[in-house]
Amino acid sequence: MKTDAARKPILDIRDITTSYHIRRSGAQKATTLVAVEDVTLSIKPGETVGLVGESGCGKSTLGRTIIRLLEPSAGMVSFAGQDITHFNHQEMRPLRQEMQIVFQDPYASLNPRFRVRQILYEPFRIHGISKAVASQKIPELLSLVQLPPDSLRRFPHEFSGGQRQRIAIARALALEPSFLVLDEPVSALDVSIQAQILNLLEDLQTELGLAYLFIAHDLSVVGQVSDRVAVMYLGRIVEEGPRDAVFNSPQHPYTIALLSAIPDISAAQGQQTRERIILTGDLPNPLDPPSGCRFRTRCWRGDQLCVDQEPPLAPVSDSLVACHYPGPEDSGARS
Amino acid sequence: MTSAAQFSERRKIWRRIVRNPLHLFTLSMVALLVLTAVFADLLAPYGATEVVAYPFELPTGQFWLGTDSIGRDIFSRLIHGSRVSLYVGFASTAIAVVFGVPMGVVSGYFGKLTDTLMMRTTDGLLAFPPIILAMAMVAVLGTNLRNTIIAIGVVQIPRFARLVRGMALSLKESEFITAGRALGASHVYLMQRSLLPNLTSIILVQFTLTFATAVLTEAALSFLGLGAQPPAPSWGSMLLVGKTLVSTNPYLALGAGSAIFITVLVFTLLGDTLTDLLNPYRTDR
Amino acid sequence: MTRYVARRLLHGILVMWIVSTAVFVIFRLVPGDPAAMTLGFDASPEDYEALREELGLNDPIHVQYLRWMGNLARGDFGKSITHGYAEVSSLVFPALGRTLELAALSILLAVIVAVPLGMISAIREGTWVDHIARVFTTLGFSMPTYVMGIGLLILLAEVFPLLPPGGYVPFGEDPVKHLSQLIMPVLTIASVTAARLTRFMRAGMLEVLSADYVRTARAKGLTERRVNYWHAFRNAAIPLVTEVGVNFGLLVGGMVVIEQIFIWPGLGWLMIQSILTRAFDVVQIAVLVSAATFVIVNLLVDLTYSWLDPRIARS
Ligand SMILES: Nc1ncnc2c1ncn2[C@@H]1O[C@H](COP(=O)(O)OP(=O)(O)OP(=O)(O)O)[C@@H](O)[C@H]1O
Ligand code: SF4
Ligand SMILES: [Mg+2]
Repeated sequence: MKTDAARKPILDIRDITTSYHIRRSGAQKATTLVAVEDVTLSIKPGETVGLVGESGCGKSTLGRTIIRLLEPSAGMVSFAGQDITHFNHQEMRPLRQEMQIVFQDPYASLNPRFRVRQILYEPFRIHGISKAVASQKIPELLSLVQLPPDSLRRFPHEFSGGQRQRIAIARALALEPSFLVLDEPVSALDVSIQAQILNLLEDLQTELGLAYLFIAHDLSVVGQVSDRVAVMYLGRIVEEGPRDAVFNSPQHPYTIALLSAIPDISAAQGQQTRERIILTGDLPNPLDPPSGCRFRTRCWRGDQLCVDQEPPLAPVSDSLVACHYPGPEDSGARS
Repeated sequence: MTSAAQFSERRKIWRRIVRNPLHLFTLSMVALLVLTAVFADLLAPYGATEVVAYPFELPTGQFWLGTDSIGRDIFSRLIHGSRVSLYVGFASTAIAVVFGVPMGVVSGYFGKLTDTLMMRTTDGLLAFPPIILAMAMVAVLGTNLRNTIIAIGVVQIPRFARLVRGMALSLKESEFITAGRALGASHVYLMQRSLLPNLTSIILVQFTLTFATAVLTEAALSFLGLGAQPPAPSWGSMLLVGKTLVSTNPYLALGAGSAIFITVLVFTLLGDTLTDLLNPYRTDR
Repeated sequence: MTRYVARRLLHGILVMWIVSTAVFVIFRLVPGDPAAMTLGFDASPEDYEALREELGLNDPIHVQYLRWMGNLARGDFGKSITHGYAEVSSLVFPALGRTLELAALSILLAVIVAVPLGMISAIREGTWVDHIARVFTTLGFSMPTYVMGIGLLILLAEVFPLLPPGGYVPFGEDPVKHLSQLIMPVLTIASVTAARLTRFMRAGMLEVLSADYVRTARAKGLTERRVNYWHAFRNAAIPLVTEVGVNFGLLVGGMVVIEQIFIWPGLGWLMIQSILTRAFDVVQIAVLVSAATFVIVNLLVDLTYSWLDPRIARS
């Protein structure tokens, strides 16, 4: 039901490229950092798409481009059938009720000068919803994210990280959006709290029929919640497909490496214990990405073709994979 | 966590005050000065311009600091003078805030061309020594108390704008501002409701420091004959007269000088006290 | 480095342009035009019209502005109507010279006091020397210069009549008298400035000393405290150059009151006299020159600083 193929996507992005202009001290001209390049993705109502990748690969940038906190330099973003690629601040305002975001850092995303009551009142106030309606909804929101009613009087700094993240989630849900970007909503939290928040998010999804873009740098978390998974490397999507396809028969060497780092999944799924692949080297400098395949500097399958040509994202079994030599590790391995 | 919630912010601040003698001293002095200014008419034994005795009387039980060159009670005039000083200090700082803060917020928030224009303009205005610019303005507008207030206030506008702009610039990148944008807040809303509340404490601290400077500048301008005009009881003008009377009655100069010194000192200390008290992240043991 | 110098120069010119424009705006656009200000309220309409024509006030405002900027660019500061058509520059620059003399001597004295005092205060942090130094700096910080000046005047000219109560005689005429007239104003300004510089020096030294202390303590165990005083001195002294420069620039304008107290015919004194005699053609140039001095001093300071610490030019 969740993956009903006939349903129209609520979010559709095509060949999105997003860049930052950075002025390095001393330099005369600004340099351009391409943080997201040629990304295509769609999300259906009620669906959760997981987005994984190392720190700095462009996940947050993509998330922010999707809800148009950033403007893409190329490509198209459409939301609920409407092309919003170049909507300005003003044009976006009504749409903000439908799409919300929960930020990565629960310590920075709440105004330190506001009490929780004011923080939760903001969405209503901004969209001109009467105080009467708001004051009826705010306690409901609070119980939805399982915070005690007396939280309203307190300031953000009086809460723990997990509690703050709940406040942020409550704020994001206030206007009853149909799509939510969750930017690493649990990575700043303890494992025990992580589970609570993940359960909460799943309950909310069944209750409210939300679509999620769930960002994480940790595949195991994504595996728990996603219907589909997209793996990102240095600004590009390298593999995308149904969760089970990506987890059970990963095709891209990078996905394979990421999965091999989670021992409990391979063990639990009764597969042969895979050799743990440790990626050597760091993420290349995004200001100066490698030619051809971006992963080639750390890939054990690569050859001259990978240096010369960028592999396109193409169907391989159930997934889309951007690799010249796709395949599971045992079959695809070369020297 | 729960105990932190029990203590309201106000009680926390109160505890900090009571525990620190310097804070206690500063705040009582400020209160004393403000009360003196407000109730000057009740506190002063004589009127500000009332001739009560022969000129040049030395201190007596009746005239605590003696009388000035036209026979007015020096002590009474000093008390009335607090009203002039604090009034000018407050009014001119208010001008600086009312214009400087919005300029700074807009400049920092929008950045780009708005910011560049603003910053180059303030560069230019800050190149004038403050008192010279104030003198020039008073000279052109005419010497009276209202123009003194305007001149002192205008001179401080770029300083406020600079400070606020710097803070706004770093704050606007905060995620809670982005969160506001994600909620669909307008630019005005973000500047007014999201940025500004986070600037109140530095604005307040700067207010007290500017206040001190304004009191100082008013006294200087009056001393130069460009501020409050006689017979208004300005400490600066009293200092001017007192300087010429040093050999007959040094208490006029000493009294006016000390009044200026103490007021400036107290409001400068108030800046430190507020910085300490308003820090929301400070945790007390 | 050359690029840095060029950039700073360009910035200085830009600031000067804004400064000149601001002066133009203040003196032209505010109520009561320069002609009325010069003549006062009781002038006859004919005189007023004649003066307006003479000052070019009947021209459109942009023509006036271009003429103003053009004259400044050529270094032509005009003639003062109120001063019998004397060249304004012949009034302003000698006054500036006398102000610079006062400012330079005061800064020099302040540095001579502040550098060792700040160093000792930092090295002997927490001892009685430090405490005395800090009381001195705190008082100096909130003591208005003119209150200090009048205090000195009462003390040294009235109570103990050791020094003349002000006035000015050129050095060439009577060197001894000239110097004795300098003492009080210089002492006044120097002591207030020294308070600022001492505080600055102390903080700069302490920053390095405490960092050094931690590092050495980690490396050698807590027994030995070997501190590189020379290194600490350099660290504090280089930024002090900036601080000195900023103070010097401010002094040039800020000494108005001191010059008035001690009847020292510097730039500030000239300004007051000109305001009182409605010589606005002199006032506007005096304002401009005091700002220009500040800009030039700052420029020199920045260049010196970047020469002492080349990292700054690169960042
Ligand atoms: N505001 C910005 N200005 C300039 N560069 C930026 C900015 N934000 C991000 N970047 C750069 O863009 C790239 C992608 O950053 P992004 O925050 O999207 O990564 P991420 O995948 O979310 O990482 P993380 O897991 O650490 O949150 C990085 O190289 C980062 O340095
Ligand atoms: S394209 Fe080549 S380098 Fe890139 S992942 Fe595939 S095999 Fe490795
Ligand atoms: Mg991120």
